[in-house]
Amino acid sequence: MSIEFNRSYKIQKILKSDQNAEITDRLYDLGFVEGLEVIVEKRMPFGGPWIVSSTMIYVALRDEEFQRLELV
Amino acid sequence: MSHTYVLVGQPNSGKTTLYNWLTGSNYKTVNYPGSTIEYSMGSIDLKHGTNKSFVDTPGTYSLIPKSPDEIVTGKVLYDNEQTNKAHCILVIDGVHLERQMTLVFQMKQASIDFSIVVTMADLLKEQNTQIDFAALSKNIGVAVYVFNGQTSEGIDKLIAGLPLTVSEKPRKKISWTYLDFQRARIDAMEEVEKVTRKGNTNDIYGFTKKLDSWLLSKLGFVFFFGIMTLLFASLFWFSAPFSDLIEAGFSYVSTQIETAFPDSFLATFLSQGIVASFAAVLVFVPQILFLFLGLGFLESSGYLPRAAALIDHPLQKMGLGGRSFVPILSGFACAVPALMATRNISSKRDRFITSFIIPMMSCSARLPVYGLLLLFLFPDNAFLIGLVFAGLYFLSLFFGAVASLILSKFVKPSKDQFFMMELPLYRRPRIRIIIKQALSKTRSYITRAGPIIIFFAVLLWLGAQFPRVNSQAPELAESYIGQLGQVMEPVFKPMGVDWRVGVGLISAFAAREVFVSTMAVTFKVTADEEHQEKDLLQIMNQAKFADGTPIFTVGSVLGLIFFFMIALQCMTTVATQIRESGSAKFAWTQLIVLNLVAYVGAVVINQAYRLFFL
Ligand SMILES: Nc1nc2c(ncn2[C@@H]2O[C@H](COP(=O)(O)OP(=O)(O)OP(=O)(O)O)[C@@H](O)[C@H]2O)c(=O)[nH]1
Ligand SMILES: [Mg+2]
Repeated sequence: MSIEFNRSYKIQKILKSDQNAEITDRLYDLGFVEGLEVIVEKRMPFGGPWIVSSTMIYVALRDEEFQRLELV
Repeated sequence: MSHTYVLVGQPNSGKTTLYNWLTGSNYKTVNYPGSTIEYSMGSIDLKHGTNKSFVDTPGTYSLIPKSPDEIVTGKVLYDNEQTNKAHCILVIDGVHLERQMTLVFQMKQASIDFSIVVTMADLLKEQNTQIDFAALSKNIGVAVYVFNGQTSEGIDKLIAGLPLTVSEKPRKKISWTYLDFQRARIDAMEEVEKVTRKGNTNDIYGFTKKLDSWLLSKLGFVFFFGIMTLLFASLFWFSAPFSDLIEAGFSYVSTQIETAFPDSFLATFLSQGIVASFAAVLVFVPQILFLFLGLGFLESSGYLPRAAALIDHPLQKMGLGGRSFVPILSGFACAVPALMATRNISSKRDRFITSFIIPMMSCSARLPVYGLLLLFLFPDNAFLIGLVFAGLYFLSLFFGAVASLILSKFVKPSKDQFFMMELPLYRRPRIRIIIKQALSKTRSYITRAGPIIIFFAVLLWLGAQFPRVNSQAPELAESYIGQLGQVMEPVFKPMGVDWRVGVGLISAFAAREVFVSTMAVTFKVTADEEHQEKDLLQIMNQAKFADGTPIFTVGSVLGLIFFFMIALQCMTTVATQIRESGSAKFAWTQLIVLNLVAYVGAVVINQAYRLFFL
């Protein structure tokens, strides 16, 4: 799915991976839960992190971290 | 009896700000999640009472720690005998109340006895959010206080309300599954909704997002390099007039001493030993002050987490990560706190590589050395020196990148890395506090270097005066220092410098900036009568080997600059490295490797220059 910027998405699922389990745990720590509405603000240049915001957070996520969020 | 209270909370929630108000201390507060990396304890400011002390801790997102700084907080809460029973003060950023409530539920589950302080009261007001804290307190069964970190409003109520008893209930370690997080989030949302009345809210992120649409756009890297270049180049530009003033002051003092007591042994020692030593180093103190000011400004603005995010991807390619950026940048001030700042890096491998390259960053102790050598290369061109100066900072980053590229080939990626950087609001830097902190750091820089400068001045001066020949000062070659020099000369000759510079290089292992002051002393005592009055740069220009070839050539000076860029001459850094990495072998290997590379590099540069340009 191609992500559109400045539009609201809902987190359908937070994916787990054995590769690096701490990423998912940290996403929980930061308050990401299923059902949360987020806005993908932009992506930083040259394959840099994504900027995601919601009513409760404004955060930069590496691609690998961002991909754990299944957005609809 | 004294009561202890532990401040805990998520990163950047305002713990250190509150701690400073409570204890009257001056700890650094940075608009960056993860600025505090060690706990500290302080007694209450007598303004506010007696018999209470407070503990500041590194920010933690949850009670289940994931990085070394969070582990420090875990130890304070569970292991440290002095603090593991103490009443806690959970510091919550009011703007992110709902999210940070997770910690409320975790603390309750862990049976930790605590009160809540909601900070950023000023921002809540600006945002037009009204929260009924009394109702919140009743609903969750924990005392809640409101605090404004800018004005300290609310501090008295908090202090008056702190309990004087400790709970004896044993604390439990917790572990949470996804379901626990989800339940906590839903509970938090409901609680906060019940007590919040939002007028037509002001989006306080409006300005921040607008600024980010520039600073984090495609042009982001241009801004990044612009800001860094300005920071480094301006050190020299802004400080030049102050340096001139200091230099004039010292040379006035020195002439006064010598004219007041002509031909007095003591007066010559004072003016050409002590005064010249201090003059050589202190003319570069304005640069150091401006460096601290610039870094302080950047730290409090909120730009640093953005810069970290911007360069996360390029850094990953070198085996580092965005979280390495702030420790590396603080390495430009001093490697010791910078090594401690790596605790904010979750990944063992990233932390290892970052720790290795931090001592190669151009720390403030190197600044006088570069200043002197650049003034020699580019006399009377402050603008150009400023730019070259910035170039040296970027060059040290480049050497760091090369080193980490090499290391990343040997160290396997660890599975524990994440970046996830919260981007805080941009804040107007509080100039008064920045100036105060920069001045106090500059003062401690001088008081640390001062005794070492005096020590070497005395040592070198006496070394040149003894052994007495017919109760007269000996010929230089016969003096202790001259004899020592002849023994050492073969080591330094390949670098293109003589034994006098060698003495400076060795003294730099006590403190790098002492290189400049020992150069001033050795070159003054060894210069001919007619040159002794001149300043160090002029003496350097005329200094020659016995065979008449000049000592300071472009090649030898570039070699010296390279030597100082790479060499690890600071024993405090080595000690810190041992403590932080837990491996003495790593620290000693690094010491040997870096100094070897520095020496060989300097020799190669000097020899290549001779080969091609002479
Ligand atoms: N406007 C406003 N800013 C505040 C307030 N309290 C703290 N700040 C700012 O918030 C930033 C973070 O403050 P710190 O006190 O360093 O936060 P901390 O909780 O110690 O952060 P870590 O050590 O990273 O966990 C700094 O830029 C402070 O100036 C407040 O009440 N109002
Ligand atoms: Mg702090």
